[in-house]
Amino acid sequence: MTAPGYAELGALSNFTFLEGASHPHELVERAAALGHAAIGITDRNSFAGLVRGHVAAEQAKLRFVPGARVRLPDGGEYLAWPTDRAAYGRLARLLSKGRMEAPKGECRITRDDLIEHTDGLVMALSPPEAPDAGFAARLARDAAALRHRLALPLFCAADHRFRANDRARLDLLAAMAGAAGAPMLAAGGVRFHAPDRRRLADVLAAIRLRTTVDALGFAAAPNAEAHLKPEAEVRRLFAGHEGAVDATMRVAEACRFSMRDLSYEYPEEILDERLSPQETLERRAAEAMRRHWPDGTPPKVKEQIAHELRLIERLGYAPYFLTVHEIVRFAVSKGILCQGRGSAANSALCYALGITSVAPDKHDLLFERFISAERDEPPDIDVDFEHERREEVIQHIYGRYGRHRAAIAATVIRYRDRSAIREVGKALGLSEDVTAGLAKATWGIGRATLAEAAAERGLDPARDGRLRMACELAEELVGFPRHLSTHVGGFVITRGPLTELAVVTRAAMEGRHTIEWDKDDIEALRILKVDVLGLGMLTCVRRAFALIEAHGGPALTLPTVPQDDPETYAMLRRADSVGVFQVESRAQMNMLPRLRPEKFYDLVIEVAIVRPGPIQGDMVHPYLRRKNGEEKPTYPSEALKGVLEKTLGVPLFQEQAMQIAIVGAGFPPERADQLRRAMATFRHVGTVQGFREEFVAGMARNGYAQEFAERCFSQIEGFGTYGFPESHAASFAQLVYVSAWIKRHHPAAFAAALLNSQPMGFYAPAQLVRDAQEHRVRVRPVDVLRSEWDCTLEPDAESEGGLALRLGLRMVQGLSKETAERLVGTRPAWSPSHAPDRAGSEWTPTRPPRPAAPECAAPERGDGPRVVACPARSAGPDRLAGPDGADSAGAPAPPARPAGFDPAALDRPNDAGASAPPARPAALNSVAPGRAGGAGALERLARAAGLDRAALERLAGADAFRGLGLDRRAALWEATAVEPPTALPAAAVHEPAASLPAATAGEQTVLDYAGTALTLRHHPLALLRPRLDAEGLADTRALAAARRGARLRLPGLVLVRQRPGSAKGVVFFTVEDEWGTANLVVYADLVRRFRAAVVSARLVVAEGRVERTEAEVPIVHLIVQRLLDRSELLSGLAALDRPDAKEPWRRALARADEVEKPDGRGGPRARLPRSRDFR
Amino acid sequence: MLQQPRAPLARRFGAALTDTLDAATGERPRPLRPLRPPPDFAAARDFLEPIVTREAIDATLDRLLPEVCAELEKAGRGARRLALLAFRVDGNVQAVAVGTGLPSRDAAHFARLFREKLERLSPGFGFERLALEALATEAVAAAQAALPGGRRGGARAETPWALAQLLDRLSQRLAVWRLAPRASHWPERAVARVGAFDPVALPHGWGAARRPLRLLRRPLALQAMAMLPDGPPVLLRMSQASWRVLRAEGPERLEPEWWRDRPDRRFRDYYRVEVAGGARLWVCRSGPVLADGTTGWWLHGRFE
Repeated sequence: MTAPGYAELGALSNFTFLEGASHPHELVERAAALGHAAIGITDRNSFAGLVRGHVAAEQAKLRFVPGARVRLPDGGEYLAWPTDRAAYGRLARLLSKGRMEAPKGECRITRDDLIEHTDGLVMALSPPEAPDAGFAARLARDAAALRHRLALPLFCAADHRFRANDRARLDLLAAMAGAAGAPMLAAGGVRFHAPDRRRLADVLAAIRLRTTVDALGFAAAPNAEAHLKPEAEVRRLFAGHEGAVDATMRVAEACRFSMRDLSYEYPEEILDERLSPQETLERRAAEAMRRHWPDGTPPKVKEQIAHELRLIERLGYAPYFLTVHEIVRFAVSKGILCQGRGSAANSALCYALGITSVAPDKHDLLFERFISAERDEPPDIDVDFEHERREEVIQHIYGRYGRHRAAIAATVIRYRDRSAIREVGKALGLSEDVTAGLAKATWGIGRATLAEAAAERGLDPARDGRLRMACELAEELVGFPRHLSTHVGGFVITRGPLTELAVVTRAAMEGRHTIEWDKDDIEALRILKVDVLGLGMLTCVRRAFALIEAHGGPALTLPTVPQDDPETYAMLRRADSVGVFQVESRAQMNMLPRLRPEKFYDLVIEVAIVRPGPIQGDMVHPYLRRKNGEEKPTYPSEALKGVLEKTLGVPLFQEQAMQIAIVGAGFPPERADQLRRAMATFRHVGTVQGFREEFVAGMARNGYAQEFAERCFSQIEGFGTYGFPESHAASFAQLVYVSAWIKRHHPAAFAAALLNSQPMGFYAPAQLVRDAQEHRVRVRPVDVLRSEWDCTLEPDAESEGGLALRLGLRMVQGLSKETAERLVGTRPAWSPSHAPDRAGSEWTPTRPPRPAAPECAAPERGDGPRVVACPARSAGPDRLAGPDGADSAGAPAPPARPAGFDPAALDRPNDAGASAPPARPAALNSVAPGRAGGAGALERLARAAGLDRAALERLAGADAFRGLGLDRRAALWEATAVEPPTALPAAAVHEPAASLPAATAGEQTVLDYAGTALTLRHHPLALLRPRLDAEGLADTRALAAARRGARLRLPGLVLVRQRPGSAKGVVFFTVEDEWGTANLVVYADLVRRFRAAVVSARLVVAEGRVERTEAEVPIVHLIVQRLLDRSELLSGLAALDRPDAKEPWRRALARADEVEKPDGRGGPRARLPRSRDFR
Repeated sequence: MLQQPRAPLARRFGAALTDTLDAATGERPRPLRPLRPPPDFAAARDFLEPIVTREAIDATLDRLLPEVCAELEKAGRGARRLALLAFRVDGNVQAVAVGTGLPSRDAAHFARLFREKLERLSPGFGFERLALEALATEAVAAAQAALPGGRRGGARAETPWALAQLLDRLSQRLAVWRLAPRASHWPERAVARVGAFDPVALPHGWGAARRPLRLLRRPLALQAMAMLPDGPPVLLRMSQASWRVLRAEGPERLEPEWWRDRPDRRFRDYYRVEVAGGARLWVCRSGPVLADGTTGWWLHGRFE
């Protein structure tokens, strides 16, 4: 082009939240397409969009001029671009200062601050819509004040946006600029990259102003002219003021600063005295080896570590290893469990230093996968800490490096389908119910458009223009940044002040601050960060270790857990893995019997194989066939055999996918890495397509079949975000093994630790407790006399391992820890039987185990209304300690019931649920004397522990007063009578006894769920079974025994609903009945048909065909053909009117359920960044 | 519940529970309250002999109105809506309601409003009862209903009232409205019709753009000569007449309000022009210049 050149340097991106209406990369690509000389992005008081813009510009081979739009509180607005690193640091410091002094999200910069930080900047003052004398004065004053600081004289920014008087306005600005000695600069009039974004810009304005587009008035854009224009057009509009256009080139020339100049400097205090980083690291490595292998390091490992040290020296990464080591050392010294994850597990050095815990001889290390000289990419070590004690580590980092040098990375919160449609709907004035309906419709729409989802819900976007616009605009809005939030734990630590590297802003949490860039930005700039992550399973493992040790077991640590235990692998092969790290999900449980893990490396594969990457690439079945010897491993070529041999010719790990690109398609390593990045971080549909063609062509050149090439590429696509590097899988496999080992050998401790670490994992407490019971652990209920806050273990010869699980007060819904601890602390003051050991008369209900006698299925059926007088209740206060034990001993228990407990006696039940009117036992009044004694104890408790009525009611709701001789209803009755504690001594109140109707078994079960989210009594389906039998419905035992292809109608309580992104709209249900769990598969067309039942049912009846695969334990699915919502049966169990008890069945849902806890279209896809979505 | 001892119930759930129980069993009387309270201001006449003639109705109204107005005045209120209920001997009830823009208790004014509407009553065999009710009232600052001295002094003070009363009278027969400014870039949408008594607020920034005071209801088609692509016109022509443009400013580009307009509505480039002869006009070109060089020019208003 012969034109003298032009660049828009003051564009707003959508990181000026709710104002800019284009992504940085859209602006960059548009500018490149228009042939501009450069592009400059200036977001308001922010650097947040600069890295995105920079990366896009590098790809588009366009010069990128980073800058910011500094807004003063008095309304003055300046465009500022740094000319060099020092000026950049000053600008960053200025913005950081303004941000730190203002509340989160705001920025307060004074004019004095501004002037002080302007050395080396190029600046332009932005004029108001109607430039007046005040502006002229400000321009003149600022031009004079800044003359000797700025690299170029202050400019007067000007734009032409087809206002009525733009010609005159330009002339006026030129006059003002001339008078002030500030040349005019064409900049700053761009809010979006293309005119069709005007609609979205108006919607953003409406969202920002919390109004509708109809009420926007003059806040709407009058026209669509705030977009990037070709140079010729700009020159035409600036006719007579061409100097302003030429000036853009002067600025672009002067501002040679590039984001690449932000080289990172490591902190210094990690070094040993008078040693260089490399020397310090070598010394530490030598110490670590002596400690680890006191009998001499194995030569292979020694050689490996030496090799790694050489490479680290060459690349200068020693300070990074020391930084991480320092943090790990601190954690170890405080007894905080930690484990490195990610590619660091490829390093023997990291193992020796205690950063990772997978022994180097467990799998092949390939240090080059961790750090490579060619790739010139910083190593990435993520360290998981116990999630409850991570805060200690974070505080240590702050203490050690100071808050001015350590900060957490940000996370960009973006609009997702649900939030986008909700906000756009509001902005377009759609009614609340339509918007809510649309937002709901976004769950499970897969790759369908919003308009299609809306049509499914009976809304008609084709006819309703507003609705159609809302759908279109919401799709445009998806992916826009909404605000910055704090990353879970990515720390950036610098040598100098952090504020000169990036804009530091306040975080929502008191005393925290974050930099404005998220982890992708940091990675793109090759700034090193340490991920200090919290992992619930580590907390659980530490608690389990502590419990084992406290009850006479060995003292264990992660590396000292006995390795290669065959029983543990056998248990995993049976898919008996509820609660085990990573492999407890439905998909993993189905995989375990097929994969049949026998050694550690099998677990590594198990972790990696159930991932969208391998599934999308259709790699799972070939691998299984080859593993089971049904098919001989074949390799597409000798070259790829080296890459794929370990996994029998099937690529499963991320590294392998990249290696195929390099070896198979002939990509240079950095090109392969670009490919990975293109998938993972800056996803552009266009670029991915380009890679695909290049990849397939490359494979074809090297003689591979097109079909194989396509398959590999689609797998790489899946891997981009969800693939597992082998080393990462190895780190996780280590935790899989450890948690499985604890579950196998210490089931009670495992269950207690899991319950105490909630919320975590895949399942809700109800399923964890049930699983413990199925492993013959006796579970004892919450009891004010016995329970601590946490779940504890109590000696019990009849329980597995000699220890029974006592549920803790933490299971009581809504009870605060502080209240519970007061209760426990004051126990000697009120407990009527603090001293005597009541183990013998303990109420320990046990659910009938799965293979129990059939009469358990309908325990109350045929018994008729059974009246059980409670002898203990009438026996007076001295028998209060253990009335129920005495009861059950006296009651005739069905022979099949183990453990001497008869729920029927306890509950005085009627026929199941509501099918028969509850019969009132005649002898109710005999309860009264005993209850009066219990009431006294309850009142003493309330006074001593200072419990208010709400806390007492919660405890009563959890049926925790049985120890005091009060059943749930009696306790609630007494709790409502307790008055707020006063200084006066309690006056004894003698009141006539009330006659309280007995709770039915159904009510007991429902109230158990409401009070503790689980029941130790009857499963709700056991109570409903007579009714279900009458309807001819099956149970999970029948399903387990059914032939393949058999047809069944199966009722079940809904535990989990998932719609994996890789499963093309199929929804997987896990349901439960009194015998076990079952997996339902609902195909996409049926999901559409039975959508209401899929989304809202708590109890479903699924009708379908049995799909059965024989393995060590058969894998059985029910392919659903009809799905009915029968939740009304549950409500028939008991009528609830307390507001907190409205939805007890919701509590039965597992944590992994995606309908109640959805975050976006694709379930896991939307959850957390790369590989962190694993739970 | 009823068999439970009372004291523990009261201790736990308070007296409200026992009271409710008693009310449910009838132990405790509970008076009923009517759903719609009777109007505070009302007057009625019953007739032994049903009335049939318009004169009789007018005469009755003339007695009822002062009664209600006096009550209103005593209470410091004025009526926005009055209804005359006419009870026919056969049980049929007819209602005639009048409304006012401002609260009023001027019996003569109401009488005038009613007069035009009473024709709708169909007495049949006659009304045995006429009732006048104030359905909606608002507080009115005490004002002297009229000056005792004479008309000359009072006329001025009565002016706003007189306008309100005029509007009331007109709106019994016609649609009465006024224009209010509205915040919109689109010229035709910059004002809106509102009710005669609706308050009018000036949106911030309204009037900043220079627009003719009145726009033509139907813009007039023009021919124009102008530089491409968006230069101002240099010559305007309408039917046979033509004007040379002396001065022009623009274009001011306005895009339609996408959220409510037809999708095919085109943007407009507006120009303020002064033609030879001194007239200053607001003209626009609608949409971009077409491939054949033609485009639509319109005269949309004239600066006074």
